[in-house]
Order: sequence, then C-alpha cells, then structure tokens
Amino acid sequence: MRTKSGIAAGAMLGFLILLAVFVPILAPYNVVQAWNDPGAWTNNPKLAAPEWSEIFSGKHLPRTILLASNGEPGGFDKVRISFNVSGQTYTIVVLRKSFSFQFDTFPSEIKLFMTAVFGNATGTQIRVFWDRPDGQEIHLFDGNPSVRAPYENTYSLTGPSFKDPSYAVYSSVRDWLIAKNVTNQTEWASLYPTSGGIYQNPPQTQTMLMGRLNRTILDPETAEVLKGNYSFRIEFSGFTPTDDANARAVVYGTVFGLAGTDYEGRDLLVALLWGAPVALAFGVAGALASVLIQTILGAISGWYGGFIDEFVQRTADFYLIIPTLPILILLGILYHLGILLILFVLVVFGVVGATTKVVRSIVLQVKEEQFIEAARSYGASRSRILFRYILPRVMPYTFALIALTVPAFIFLEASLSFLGLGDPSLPTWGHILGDAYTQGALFASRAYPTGLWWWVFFPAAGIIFTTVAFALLGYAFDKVLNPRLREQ
Amino acid sequence: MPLPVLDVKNLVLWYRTRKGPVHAVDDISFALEAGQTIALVGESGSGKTSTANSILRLLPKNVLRYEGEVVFDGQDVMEFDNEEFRKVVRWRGISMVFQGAMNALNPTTRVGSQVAEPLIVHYDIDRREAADQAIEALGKVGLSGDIARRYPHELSGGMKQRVVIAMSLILKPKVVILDEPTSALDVMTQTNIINLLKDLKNTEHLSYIFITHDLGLASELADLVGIVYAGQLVEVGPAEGVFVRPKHPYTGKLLASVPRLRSEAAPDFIPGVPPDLTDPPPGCRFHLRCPVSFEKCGWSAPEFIEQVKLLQISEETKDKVPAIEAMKAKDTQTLLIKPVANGTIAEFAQRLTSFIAQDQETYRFLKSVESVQSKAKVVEVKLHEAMPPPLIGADWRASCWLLEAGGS
Amino acid sequence: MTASVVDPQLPPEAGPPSPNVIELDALKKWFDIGRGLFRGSIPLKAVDGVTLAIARGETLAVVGESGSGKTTLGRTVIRLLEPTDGRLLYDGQDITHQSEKELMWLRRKAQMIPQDPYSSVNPAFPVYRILEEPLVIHKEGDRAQRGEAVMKALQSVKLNPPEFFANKYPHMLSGGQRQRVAIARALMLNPAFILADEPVSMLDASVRISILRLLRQIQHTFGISFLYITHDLATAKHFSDRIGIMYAGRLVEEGPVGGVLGEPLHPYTKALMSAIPDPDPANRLTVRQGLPGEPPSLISPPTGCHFHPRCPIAQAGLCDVQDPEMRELRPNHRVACHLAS
Repeated sequence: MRTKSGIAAGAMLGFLILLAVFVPILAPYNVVQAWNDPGAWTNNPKLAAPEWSEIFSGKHLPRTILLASNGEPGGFDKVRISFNVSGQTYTIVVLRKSFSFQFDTFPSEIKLFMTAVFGNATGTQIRVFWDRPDGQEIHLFDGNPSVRAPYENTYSLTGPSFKDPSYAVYSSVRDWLIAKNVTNQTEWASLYPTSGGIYQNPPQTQTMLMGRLNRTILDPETAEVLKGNYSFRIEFSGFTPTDDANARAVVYGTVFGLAGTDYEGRDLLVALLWGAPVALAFGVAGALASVLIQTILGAISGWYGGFIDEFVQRTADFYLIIPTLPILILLGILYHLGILLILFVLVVFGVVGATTKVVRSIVLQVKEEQFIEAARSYGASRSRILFRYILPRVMPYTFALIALTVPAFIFLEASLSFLGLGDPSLPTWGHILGDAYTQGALFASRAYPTGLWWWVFFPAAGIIFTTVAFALLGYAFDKVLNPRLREQ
Repeated sequence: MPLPVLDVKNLVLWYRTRKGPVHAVDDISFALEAGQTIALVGESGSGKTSTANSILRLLPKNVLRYEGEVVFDGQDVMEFDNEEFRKVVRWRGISMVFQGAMNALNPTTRVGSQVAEPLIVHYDIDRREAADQAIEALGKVGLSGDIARRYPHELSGGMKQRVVIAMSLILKPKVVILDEPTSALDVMTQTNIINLLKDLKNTEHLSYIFITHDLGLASELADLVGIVYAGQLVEVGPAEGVFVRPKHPYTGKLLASVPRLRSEAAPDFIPGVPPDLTDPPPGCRFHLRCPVSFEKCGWSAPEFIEQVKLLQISEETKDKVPAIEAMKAKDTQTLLIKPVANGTIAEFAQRLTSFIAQDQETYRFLKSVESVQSKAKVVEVKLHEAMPPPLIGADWRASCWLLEAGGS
Repeated sequence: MTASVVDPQLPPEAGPPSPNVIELDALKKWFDIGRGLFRGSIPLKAVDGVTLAIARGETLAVVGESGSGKTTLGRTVIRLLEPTDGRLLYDGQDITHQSEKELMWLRRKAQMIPQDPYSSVNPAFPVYRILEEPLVIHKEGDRAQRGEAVMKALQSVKLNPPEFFANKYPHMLSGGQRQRVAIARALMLNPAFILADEPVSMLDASVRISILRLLRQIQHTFGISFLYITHDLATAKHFSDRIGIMYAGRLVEEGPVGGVLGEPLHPYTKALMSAIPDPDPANRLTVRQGLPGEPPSLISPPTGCHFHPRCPIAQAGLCDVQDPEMRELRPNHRVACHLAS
C-alpha cells in the first residue's frame, strides 16, 4: 500500500468512492427518473459543449437565456384588457420582454412557449414581433394556439420544420432582408433553394435575427453578432372574457454546464456523476461475487481433488470457451435487460473461470507444504485445513484478482450499454457513449467542426479513470505479493 | 618451492543491501599449488560460496568493494578487464561446479550439447569436433557415449552430477571449484562421485577448491583446509594438522560437533548463531560463541550488556548475577551499571568484582572486563580494547589471540 | 496441562497395555500408479512387508537412502496413509483399517515433526496460534489454559522467554527456531509417540545437534517414543536406541544401535557404513568402497532379495529367487539375508 502505484490508486479510488457516496445523497433517484423524461430538459440547449470550452475558441460563447413567464421574477411583462363591443367580447393580451445579448456567437435555438386559455379554439391569434438593438422590428409570424393551458404551445423560431412557425419566420426574415436591400429574391433562392416547398439547407434564422445588418448576414460563417438589447413582443387576441395568455422564451446557448449536453439537452454532468456509483457498484459487486465464488470453487477443487476436481475443471474449461459478450448481446436482443439482471447473468457466467484455475494451482502448491500434513496428523479435519490454513494464503491473491476484475465488469456493462442492450433507463457511462455513437457524435459537421467531443470525452474519461484506478490497485497488490516486482 | 597455481591475496567483496553493506568476503588469502586441493569449510552464510564467486568474478549487482589480488598462473587476473577475464580465466583456467548444478541443467537440451557448449562459446570449433570432445569428457567421468543423446530428466542424480563435472572439465582447466558437489545425493552415490573426483585429480592434474560444510567430506579430498567464519578465514593449514589438532577454537568446536560413525564421543554443538554479515562484531568475530575467549577478543559494551541480560532471564543463572537495575553503554568500551538500591555503591562494586572473578571461566564475556570503578551513583565498567586477531603462523595459520603467546 | 511421565491416555476399547507403543506386522503400503485404460494397475511398492516394534520411551531410527520407502513408512505408521496389507497396532489396538473418525484419539497420541523448517509451520499464523491449534481442534481447555500450555511448551523447547516468541511469525525466526516451534506443537497434546521425519536434515550442522539433543531430552522427560527417520547414519548412532536399515521398501537389518553399527551383518549396512567418511586426513589417500549401480525402482524391484544386483556376496539361484526372512542372529538383532551369520 505504500508503493507509488498504491498511493495513486488509493487517491483515485478515494475520489471515486466519495463521488459514489455523495451523488446519490445530493441528487436522489429523481434525477435518474428525470433522465428518462424529456420534459425535464426543455430548458437546456441540445448538443451544447461545456461552458469552459470557450477557452479554446477564445470567444465568449452564448449561455442559455431564460425568459420566464409573467408572474415569475424576471418574466414577461403583460398587459391584458378585455372589453365588449356590440355584444362581442374581445380580450387582448400583450406580452413583452427584452433581454441583453452580449455574446460573441449566435444562440443555437430560439423558442417561444405560450400557454393560452381560450374557449373557442378558432379565432384566437397571436402575432409575434422581434425588436433588435439597431431599431429594426421584424414581424416574425402569426399563429393560432391550438393547445389549452396548462400545456404549452411550442414555437421554434429556428426550426426547421414547416409545421411550426419556422418556415413563416424564414419568409418574414427573407422579406425583411429584401426590403432592406441586403439581398434579392433570386439570390435568396440560390442560397436557400427549396424543392417542393421544403428547404434543403434551411437558413439559420438566429444569425439573421441577431446579426449585423449587412451583406455578411447572409452567410452564418461571416455573420457578426449584433450585441445589445433584443425583445419579444406578443399580441394575443381572444374572444371570451376568460381568455388569457402567458409566454416564456428560451434563447438557447451553445454551451452549457461543466460537461455539456446531449441530443435531448440532458446535462451530461448528471450522467457523469451518476455513472460513478453505478460503475463502482456494478463493478465491485460483480467482481466480488465472481472472484469469491471462483476462489472457493478453485480451492475446493484443488484441495479435495478427485471427481470434484475433474468436474470443476472441465466446467471451467467449458466456460472459458463460451463467449460471454455475444451471448449477452443475444439475451439483450431477446429480452429486456435491467441492470440487476445483467449483473446476475454476468455472475452466473463468471462462476468458474480463469481465477478458479489460478486458485487451484495455488492450493495445489500449498497443499504440499509440510504443515498441512502435520495438521492432519494432529487431527485437523479436511475442511478446517482448507478454510483456515489454505484459504488465508490464497486471499491476498484474491484481493489482487478482485481489483483487476472490477474493470472487466465495468467494461462489460459499458459495452452492453454502448450497444444499446443495457438498461435503457440508467444514465451509465456506456449508455452515454452509446447515444453518442448512434448520434454520430464524432463526425465533424459545419455546426460542430470538432464533432460533439464532450459527449464522448466525459463518459470515456470516467471509464478510463475508474479502470486505471483499479488496475493500479491490482498492480500495487501484485507488488506486495510478488517480491520480485518490488523496487530495490 | 614451486609457484602456486592460484594465489589469492586479501580478497574482499562487500555488497550493498537495504540493511547495509554485507561483508561477504573480508580479507581472505590462501595459496594453492598444482595438484593440491584446498577445502573451504564453514557454516551456511559464512562466505565460502561468495569467495568462490569472487575468484571467478561472478559478482552480485550491487558491489561496494571488490579488491585484492588473484594470481593465477603467475598473473594477477584482477587486473584483467572483463572480456579478457572471460576468455582467459573463466572456465578455461578455473571452472566451477555450482551448488545444485545438477538441477540447473537445461531440461530441453540434450546432455551432450550442454557439455559441448563451453567449447562452442570459447573456441571457434566445428560441431563434430565439439561433439567428439564432449563424448570424450563424458567418458572421463564414467559415462558412456550414448548418454550424450539423453535429456537431463532421463538421468539419475548421480549421472547428472557427472555430466556437470564433465562440463567443468571440457576446457581443460587447471583449477576446478566444487561447491557442495554432493549435497543432494545419496550416500552411495556420494561415495562414487568422490571417488571419481579423486581419480580425476590425478589423471587430469587438477587442483580443487572444495567448498563444503561437511568436515568428513572435506577430509576425503583436502590437502589443505581453510575454515571460513563470517567472511574471514580463521584457520588455514595442512589437513593432518587442522583435522587432528586444530589451532582455532572454532575449528575445534566444529570438529567436535560432527557426529562420528566410528567413535562413541557424543557430538557437541556450538551455542549461538553466526554473526550478521552487515554488522560483524568488532575484534575477533567468533568471540561471542568462543569457549575460550578472553580479554583481547573484542567484547564491546553493548555485547556485554546483551550477555548480562541473557543471564538475567535464564532460570538457571539469574540468581548468580548481582542485582542490577539498569545498564547503559557509555561508548564501545565502557558501560555504566546502576545497582538496585540495596547498600552502597562500593558494596555493589565489590559484589560485581567477585562475580566476575568467580564466574569468568564459565561466562567468558566477563573476562573482557579491565576495570570496575565506583562512581557517585553508578559503577563504571571498562572493557579491554577489541582488536581483530591477524592470521598468526606461516604455512599453518589461525587468527586467534591465543596463538600469540605461542600457546594453542 | 503439563505433559506428564505417566502412561498416556489409552484408546477406547484397549486391552491391557502392551510394552510396545507401535507394532508393525508385515506392513505393506503399495501405491497404484495406473498406466492407462488397458494396462491395469501397476503398484509402487513403497513399503513391502516391514515388521518391527517400538517400545515405550524408546527411539527407533529408520535409516535409508532416498527411494527406500522410509518416508512412506513413517506416514503409514501414524496412519496418514492406510496400509495395503499387514497389521498396524498401537498400544495393542489394531488400527490398520480404522476410519478417520475412529482415529481421532490417535491424532492426540501420535504426532509428527516435519522436515522442512520453511514449511513445517504455518507461515500465516503467529506462534501461539500455531501451538494452540491442536488444543482447539480437540477442544482442550479454555483460552487461559491454552495460553498456559503454549507458554509451557515454548519453555520445553527452550524458546525463552516464551512471551517473546509467542507473538512472532515464522518468517521472523531462524530455521532452528522454527523446528523448535514444530516440536512444541507436537508436544501440545501430550503424545506418547512422535514421528520425526528428517527433522534436522535441512538445518545447519551445529543447529542439528542442539535440536537432536532437545528431542532426546524431551524423550527422557516425558517418556515419549520416537520414530526417527533419516538418511544420516551418524546422527542415528548418537541419538537413538535402536536402528533399522531400510532398502527398497524392506527392512534389511534391525537391532540396538551399538549392535548394528558395531557389528553390521547385512552387506548393505556394511556398505553404507564404509561409505560415510569421518573427518580424517588419511581419507584422501585411499579410495572408499562404494556400491555399483543405483537403488532400485520401487515399481519393479529385483526378484528375491531386493539388494542382490548390487550385493558383493550375492549367490545366484538363492538371492535372486527367494525373499530372505528376518532372522535373529544376535540378541534382539535381526537381519534379512540368506548369507549373514
């Protein structure tokens, strides 16, 4: 334990254990349930890099700006009047909120959420306006809220979809730009062609809504951010006395948190932290169970010999031939695998294996030592000799083997999760990696020239860190047990 | 007086360990004439194997001191660089049969090839010629030629040992070092091997350095006997003298401890253990266990205190020792004793002096006391100065102060 | 729980105590070295018909080279192995084929001291635990009594002060000290018989003598019988009362030490004696009488007298055909040789 690697291992493991202990306390299981509920993450930008990564770009990258609904602190300002003209009730609600945008690059998305109370579905209308610091006002779109409170109507300004208002916003933006002589119809059509009404390469409206008004605005690569105060203005009209409306908006940043977010906007820090106790628990439980069972079987096999020995050894040979992972994959495809079931199956597949053979050979060696024979001569029973004299000699090796098996279990679980066959509800590191892989995280794209590196980096780092910690621990054990490896 | 074929002078080998430097070989000298055998006899850990390894420059990794002269065939081979040594001396001039060598034979190579290997390494010799010479060497050790095609596991212990001896002879050396060549063998096989060695000595004109802990075996081959203790040669002389009337007390005790088949004398044992080579005692290294040690032999204050404590613990002796409350070593030769408060200091000093006078023959360490002086609250005991005895004598030398006066 | 000189506890259903602690009657122990499915079993005849007796308070040395079967003999005598044939009696009681359960009483009365100081005691236990084990297994005494017994045992083997040694682990002790612990362990249950299997052959020469002396002392103090197995005739001479010479699974000569070594009657004994050198400078000038050949394999030993191929006086037609009987040629001194007289 006093070796250098032992100290390193101790430090790393200590950290992991602290994490494993505190995370469940501070962030109870609700978090995990929340993981599987997309509704909990609506305010996070999707595929956002960690906030500190802006160091690499040198620019001040946008954080998410939340504009709360009216009634909340910092929320939309609202004016509502309801009046009656010739027997018809008219209700007008005006909602307005401004915010300051001082970042160097454009937000990833802009969304508006409206809750509306209305009796008669047809007829309620909203008109949404956008004010820019340079005094420009753009009439973004008109809409008819179709969903009643308390559910929200979601309007995305950045789209792309021709169902929600983004297409309307594209048209508005185009018209505005043409009106300002920044571009013309033909140029626009060539930059952003449509086919059958569908944009093949939709414009990034956020750059146009928030870019400096000149020719550069047409290309996201060249557009410059216009810093200053922007505001939303929403006019709602309804026709019953109880009609009402509220709004909130989110200007999504491109960076979030310490570990970024995934494609559902889920904070990866949660996954990172939660992965630790899961990995540790799984790895340690699996390794302990598997190694201990194998050790005892190996010891019994070596000590009693004869038929038992043959049986155990042939079974071990059989097991060594079985490819565990492919079978698990098969099971995963056919059945739904919860994490405990995975653990159980892995242990069952690990009941005999290489450790059995190793322990057996140690036992065979110790068996020949003369104090064992002397013990029989003073009347020690065979089982006493096995459990009290021989097993204690084997235990140090067992500890080392446990330490070295933990990473194997963690990897197995990670592999399964990676292939999508693990427990889909738990945000383990392997699961995150799997998501990242299926979403093509490491492919560079125009929006993400370095790919979604954080999505892969953090869970991978977690797995590597844990694996190295245990490997160092096992190595430290080995040094203690194997004097030849000791430093002179 | 013919020149000795091997003249070792003041050989020293110290090496580093975690606990400190180990004085494995601490100034050993002896001379071997052609056709003569010297037996290096000692307990395990006494340094006899280290001496042999030092002569052949087979050194451990962490050497601290490696000095001395090894004059082989008129040349001091310590001066040679490693390559020259390897070519001229090792195996060609002096070869070695290592302890347990028969178990170190390569199990995957045929015996004949192993015997021929030194030839191939040292000379640029053609395979067939090497094979012939190997068969010839096997013949000399009493094995027929077809043994050459066998593997070591097919041979008995005795045969394997003969193979190893053949390997040591293949380059026709002048001196062969034999390190416990029969320790793992049965009595009968041992006799046969010893007979073989006796025979080879004459037919091949060899000189042997025969290392063993068994005095009986040593007497089978030795013309000269060297007794090794704690890295030093405490006695070296002709077999007729050393075995019969040894000069050094250790040799005497060693001989007395051999259970003899042909005599009724009960064997005696030497109390205590050999000293730790990282911290050899000052003065004569054997003094702690010597039945006849006296003033000069080198008791130090800490050792003295240790001995008194042993007397205090043992049931048989604790009543003889005057009542002592505490003891402390002031320096290597002086110690202070504080008596149990029971009378004056002067009375205690008196009791101590008479204890020393009475029992010094039984408890030899008491002889090292030079003076007992009463101080204010303690008694100061001064011991004689410790000096390591040199090897006293000419052809037959022993390092013991007893010899100084010409006594034995 | 001091060991006493009084008669040791008798086994259940014992008759009147016999003068011999151990009796062997044509004892055989063969091992089955099967050679495949079709060849059937091939026996290794490690002990091939040994008859001898060990009296109370006596040390019998069995001397033989490696491969003579002496180690197997020892193991069989304390029933770590079950004899294949013949009878084995302890204090008059037939223990030849009793089961392990039935033999628990023997496990108190008969103990062993192994050979290798590096593995004779459990390296994972401290000394007091090593010594306590036999008491714990046989449920003797409570913790305090066991502690006392441990201290007494350590004193008997001269490991003083006992408190100092009780907490040490074996690797902190020298080879001689470890063997003393093994001896102390053998004393814990007040045995009447101890098998000492080459207890000193792996120790330094001078330590050997002190251990053998200790064993002798223990024998005199506690009245224990010893079976001392060794290859070293010289130590057998000085530390035993009777001696038996074993060759290829059989006893070839047996009798009082002075008698056998003073007047060896079997050619093998004679050869063995002349092969061992005492420290004598004249040795180097003569050639010692050896024996040709090697000890025979125990799987297919020579027919008739196992020694005949190497025997200088073997007679064809007699020695190679007939197994020699043990004949008492001198008082209490028996030889298995057709030609001895």
